[in-house]
Amino acid sequence: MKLKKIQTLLEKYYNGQSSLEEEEELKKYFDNENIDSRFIVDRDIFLYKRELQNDIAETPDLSDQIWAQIKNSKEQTNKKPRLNYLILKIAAGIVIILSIYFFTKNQSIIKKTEIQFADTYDSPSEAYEKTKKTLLYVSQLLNKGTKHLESIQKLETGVDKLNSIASFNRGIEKLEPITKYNIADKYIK
Amino acid sequence: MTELEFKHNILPLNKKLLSFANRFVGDFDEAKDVVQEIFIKLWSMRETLEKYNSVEALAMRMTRNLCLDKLKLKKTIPIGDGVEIGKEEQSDFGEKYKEQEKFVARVKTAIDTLPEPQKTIMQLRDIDGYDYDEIAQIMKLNVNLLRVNVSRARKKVKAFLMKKYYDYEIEKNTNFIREIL
Repeated sequence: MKLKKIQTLLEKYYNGQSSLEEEEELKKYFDNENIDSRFIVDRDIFLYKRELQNDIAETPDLSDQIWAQIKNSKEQTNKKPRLNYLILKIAAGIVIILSIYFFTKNQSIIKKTEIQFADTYDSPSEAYEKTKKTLLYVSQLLNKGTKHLESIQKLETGVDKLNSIASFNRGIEKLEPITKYNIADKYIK
Repeated sequence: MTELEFKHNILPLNKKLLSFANRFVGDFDEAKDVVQEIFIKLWSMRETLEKYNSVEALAMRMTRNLCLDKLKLKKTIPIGDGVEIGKEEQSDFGEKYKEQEKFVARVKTAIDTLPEPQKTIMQLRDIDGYDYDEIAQIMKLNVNLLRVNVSRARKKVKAFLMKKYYDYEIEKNTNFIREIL
């Protein structure tokens, strides 16, 4: 009769329908020495259950260790974040102020340069004289550079002397009648 | 939550969390680190803990998630069961407690073959002894789905044991009987 009860409890167990109490009852049954042979496989599962539940009971209690760690981290977190936030706030403020300062400064520079282009001289003739002067100065500087290029003319005279090579060409033209000798040679053969 | 309440109600959970994490990660030192981290988190959120109807379920869920993260980081399978298989085959069956150890190791390997939510759910039920409502809070699944999962997991474990160990022994016995005849 008892076996039948175990059988039904096991069925419930495998269908996920058993309550915790019923599972406890099964565990107790499998703690026994004499187990019906048809329940051997189930016995293994409940042995495992018992063994691992013992493991839980045997795991050391780390309460003190954990509490010490928490206290440790508590002290750290009390100091660090507040300081960090304060520094961050200050830094952000400085960045904003600096960026506004440089932005406005840059804008005023642009305006100033525009004004400089517009009004350096009062009368147009004066301005004309000044630009003429500066352009002359620039052209003088350019001339200085061309002086060095004069030596290229020497290369030209060298090339002129090479013209006599053309007369060599004429000599070769006069040697052309020799080809007739070549034709005569063919006839002989 | 005051310091005293935290010490009395929350800190004692560390035993359960530790054995759970140890089973999950398969390394006691790493499990210790996990539990330590969880308690620091719990302490930092102690003001809001009263909102949860079960801090234990919350702690278990946090532990499980952290363990999953750790395993993902390592991407290695805990070696525990492999070693145990070796032991199991070496041990002679003379002494009774050794035999029991062998059976337990077999079930361990069977459970390790289960896919992830099923494995944890079965362990939470059969080892940690939670009721379905608590497991539902830990796993964020509904109770009916849990029952289905538990049922499947238990059946799979039994089928695994039957196939891997008992069929084999039955075969051996029949061969033995045949030889005698």
